[in-house]
Amino acid sequence: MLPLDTLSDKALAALQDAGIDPGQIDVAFYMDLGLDAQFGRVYLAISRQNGTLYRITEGVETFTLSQLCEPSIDNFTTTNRLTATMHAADDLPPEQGEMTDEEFAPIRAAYEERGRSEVIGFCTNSCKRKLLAFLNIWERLARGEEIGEEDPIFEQFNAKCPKCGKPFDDPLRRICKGCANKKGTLRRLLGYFTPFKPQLVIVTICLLLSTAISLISPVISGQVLYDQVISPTGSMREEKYVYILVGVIIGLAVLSLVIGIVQSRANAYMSTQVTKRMKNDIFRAMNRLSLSYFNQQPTGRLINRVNYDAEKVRNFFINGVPYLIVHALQFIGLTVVLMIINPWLTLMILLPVPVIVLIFKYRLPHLWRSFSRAWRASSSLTGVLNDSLSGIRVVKAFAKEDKETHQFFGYSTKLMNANLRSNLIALSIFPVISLIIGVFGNMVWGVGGIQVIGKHMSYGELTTFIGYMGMVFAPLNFFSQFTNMLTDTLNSAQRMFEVQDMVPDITDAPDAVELPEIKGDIEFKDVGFHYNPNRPILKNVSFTIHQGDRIGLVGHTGSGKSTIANLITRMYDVVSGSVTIDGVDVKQIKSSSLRGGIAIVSQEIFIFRGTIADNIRYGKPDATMQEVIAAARAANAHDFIMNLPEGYETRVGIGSRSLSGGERQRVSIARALLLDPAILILDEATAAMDTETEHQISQAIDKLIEGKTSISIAHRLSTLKNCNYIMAMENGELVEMGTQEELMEAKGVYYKLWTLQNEQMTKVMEGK
Amino acid sequence: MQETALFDKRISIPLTPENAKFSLSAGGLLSLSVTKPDGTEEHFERVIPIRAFPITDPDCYICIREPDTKRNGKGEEIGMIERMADFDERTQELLLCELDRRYFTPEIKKIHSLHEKFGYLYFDVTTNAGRSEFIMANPSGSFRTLEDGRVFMYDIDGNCFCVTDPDALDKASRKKIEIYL
Repeated sequence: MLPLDTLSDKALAALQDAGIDPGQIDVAFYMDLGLDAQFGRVYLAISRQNGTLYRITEGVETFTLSQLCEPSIDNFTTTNRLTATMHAADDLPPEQGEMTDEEFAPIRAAYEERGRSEVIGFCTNSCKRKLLAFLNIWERLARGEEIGEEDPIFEQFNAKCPKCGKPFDDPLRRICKGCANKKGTLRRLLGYFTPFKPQLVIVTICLLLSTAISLISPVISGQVLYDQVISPTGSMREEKYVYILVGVIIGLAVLSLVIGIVQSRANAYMSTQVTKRMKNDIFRAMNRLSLSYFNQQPTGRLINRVNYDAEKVRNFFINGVPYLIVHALQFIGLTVVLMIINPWLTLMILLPVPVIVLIFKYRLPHLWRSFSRAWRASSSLTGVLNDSLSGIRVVKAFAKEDKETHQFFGYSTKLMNANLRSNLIALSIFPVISLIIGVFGNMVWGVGGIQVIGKHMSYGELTTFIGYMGMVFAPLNFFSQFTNMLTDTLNSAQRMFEVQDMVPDITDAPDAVELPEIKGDIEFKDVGFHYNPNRPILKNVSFTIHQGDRIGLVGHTGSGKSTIANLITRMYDVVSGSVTIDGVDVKQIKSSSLRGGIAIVSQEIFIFRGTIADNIRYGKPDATMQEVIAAARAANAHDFIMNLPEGYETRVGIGSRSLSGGERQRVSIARALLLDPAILILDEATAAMDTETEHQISQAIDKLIEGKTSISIAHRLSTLKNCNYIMAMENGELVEMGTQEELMEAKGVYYKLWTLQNEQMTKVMEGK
Repeated sequence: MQETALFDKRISIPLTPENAKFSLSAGGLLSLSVTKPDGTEEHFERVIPIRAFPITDPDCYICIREPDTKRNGKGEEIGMIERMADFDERTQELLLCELDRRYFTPEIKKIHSLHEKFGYLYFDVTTNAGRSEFIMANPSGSFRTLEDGRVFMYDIDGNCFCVTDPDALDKASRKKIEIYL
């Protein structure tokens, strides 16, 4: 059986009960909804040998495969319905025999028309990818194709955890719940610190020393200074010892400060270096990934990965690990020292520890959640504020000031309530803890005082105790939160490593070739493509473009025009068929070589931060000033650039001078001109321009495309006047290709578009 | 010449009990016979109902479309039902049955377990459509709480679950979910 789904024991038993040998099943598919729209288990199984599709629930229903055709999916919002056209038992499918495709097509269409649509089953989106694969297998088996276990269709389900072999919960985020290993991630994170061994040693020594000093200081000031020197019964009751011991105490404080500075400096050096390396690694890994990855991830999330996640890890190593070590050492050391001084009093100090830990453990999460709620309320308020003020012209034009104000009040109240709640929760935690600590502190004074009076304990020992008490309680909050901190850090680290480990969809083949000079021949052969399997974008598109051809590509929005540009530049790989440039499959051309020979001027232009000159020479950083100016002149950009205060060195991009749409477009044309590409793609390059700017840009474009293979994608047919061939797309299919005259004569899509635009223009001229 | 004529685009008409007769096809699909304003009849073996306001007004403004397939249509709108209640009970039942499948949103009745691991939430729940397990990524962005208190939850596959009233859940279930709401 093909490796799609396996039949459950119950389904196997049902088949056997129906007298069907499970060994004859070629492929099985599990649907998670029953025909009654409840969660359930329904299996579809195909047996080519029996020519049958089985629907297995409690029993088995049988459909004769030859009577079913055109299986299709109704893509509902959260579910999918599989239907097929069913024919009567005596209505057999026609056979093509000697007939040509043209002769056979109407006969086949008439046969399909005679059938009736039948519901085969339902499933949620969880089964969607397998449903699509099942449909593909069904159609291929029906055509008599041989499908083996190694068929590429099963590759998408092979994203399995290499350790346990189970499929990942989320194929986009390959983390195995069962095997995701905190230790492994931590070890990998620590790998970033290995180049900083000297700093690590310094930090460790500093931590040990500062812990030792913090443990010794109260003993010196309490038991030694008071009991041995100041106390009338002290064995060192001399003035000089006062000076010596005060000197020692001050010296220790200074030493502690110096150690702290050394440790912080070593830590700061190490952690900033590590953060830099992490950020660099993530950014490098991201740039290597294909465009499809960026389509699936919101930009904000990606920026977070680079900034937030690395910072989180840094924070863990700066504020987490060192303090964990210090606090742990202190806690153990303290307990030992205190036990030696006075075990009973020590037990008294330790008594509230579990209570405080429990309060932190169970109450603090509520506080964090309420902070998070307050944060969300605050960001909603900012959103409303941003919307209202950015759209103030619209608000005023529609006289909606009162409505906006009212809405703002609403969000403001929500924020106030959220903050109030946070404060109330905080008040139920920290004062309670302070009270517990205060009560036990006073009890230590009381019990200790009685012991001092009863001479069971010296006054020095008591002050030492009091000094240590704060040190016992201080790290409790830290300990109770450390697990969360560790989990958060590991999540961040996991997300960073995910990006680094991700294999890009589009990589250069090992035997990829350099094309030293691209001539400009393009061929699409039966190209099929989709971004989402539910929505095919291109269906069997075939065409040939010769060097120097000027192609105009027309069609409705969403007909697949821009996808053609994306496939030529191999931003995505075709799902079926092939795209060749100068006879070489684009998959076999090194991407640097391919993209170096093709330039795209699109409607969406991005101007990077930097000077105008930097932006123009983005594709050719070694271009001379002269070349930059020549490109700008050819793009009709020179004049406006020279009017800017710093000419070509004017800074543009986010946070600097903003250029108008037409100016940006001309800069992008200059960028393309400078590259001097063999193939030029103009994707709605002038769609958003006014007539005068469009005219200027058209002139620039005409210069750009001289002698080059060019593909102009346009809605306004007037911009295609210089094209010698027109291709018309409709619903992902290339429906027409020819000269303008031929297409006008054919009276198809191009003719309709042309007539419509002409009609509109005539109406405008006539003032209708 | 009009745009509609040029591109053979179907003109959407208001669908009322007078001009639209819904039925169930032999294959179990929602079918429609419509009388157009010019008096001609057209039959669709399979039509797709889509809600314009699936959350706030699920029973009004229901658009009826042809399916988007090679043989059965181009996915164009045939017409719109303004109020489903105008139609007889049988028709409402047929439409609702189809709509319920389209907007399959199981209502969570009990949360058996909910745990977070590596930024994912793993749910095991009983819903009004049976027991189910699902996984949610990005918890902060996958919950949608409406003004009326309903909570919609979207899993990694794009399935949607809902809690009509979190306060009405049993105490143990509510405790598991409340920190995310």
